[in-house]
Amino acid sequence: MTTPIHLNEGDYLKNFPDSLDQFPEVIDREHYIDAWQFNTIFNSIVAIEQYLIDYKASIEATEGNDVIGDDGQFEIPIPPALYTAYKSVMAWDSDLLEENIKKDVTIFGVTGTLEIGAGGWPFSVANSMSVIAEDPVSSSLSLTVPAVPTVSATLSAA
Amino acid sequence: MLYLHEKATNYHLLFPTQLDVFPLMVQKRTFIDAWILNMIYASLLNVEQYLITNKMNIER
Repeated sequence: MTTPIHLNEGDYLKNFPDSLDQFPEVIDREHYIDAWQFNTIFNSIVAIEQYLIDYKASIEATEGNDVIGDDGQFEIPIPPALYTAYKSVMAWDSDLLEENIKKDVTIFGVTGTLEIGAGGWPFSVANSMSVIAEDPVSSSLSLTVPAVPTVSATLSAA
Repeated sequence: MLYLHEKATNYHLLFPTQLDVFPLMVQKRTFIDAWILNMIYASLLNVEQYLITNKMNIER
């Protein structure tokens, strides 16, 4: 009859969650059942529980769906959830209409149809002038003015 | 050296809300009572049940 031996706790490493914990193979009549063997079981269980608790929010998260923002909403918050691939967030604005966009200009897929009248756009890069303020502290003010005579006359009078 | 019986009522299964509370076994001091083994089994089953309950989320 062999005399049982004590297994050495230091020979078995706790590696979870990076890798698996190491446990002894305890053999009847060859090994003593020592207190540390129970403690290492407790420690492993607690480590697993801690891991699951740490990731509880992810594990229990509901599945997220597509998100649609409010009219004109610039920044759209994403509700907490677990999102699978190909979910989308849609921003929209009821003013993003073809009649509100200059003809042939495309913004977010909407091509404009707005045509400019005889006077052209209110301000034109091609026609500019400088206005010097009376108060020197204000320095100078640079404006672009339209080719439309009425607007030009108003600025001159000021 | 006198062996002591730990009391099961001092230790609790709290998972998944919190961590389970196990006794600290001391060599030649703590008696290995049946309830300790039963607590281990119950604790493992709680973990397994939690994983099974959330199996769909974990495996997706």
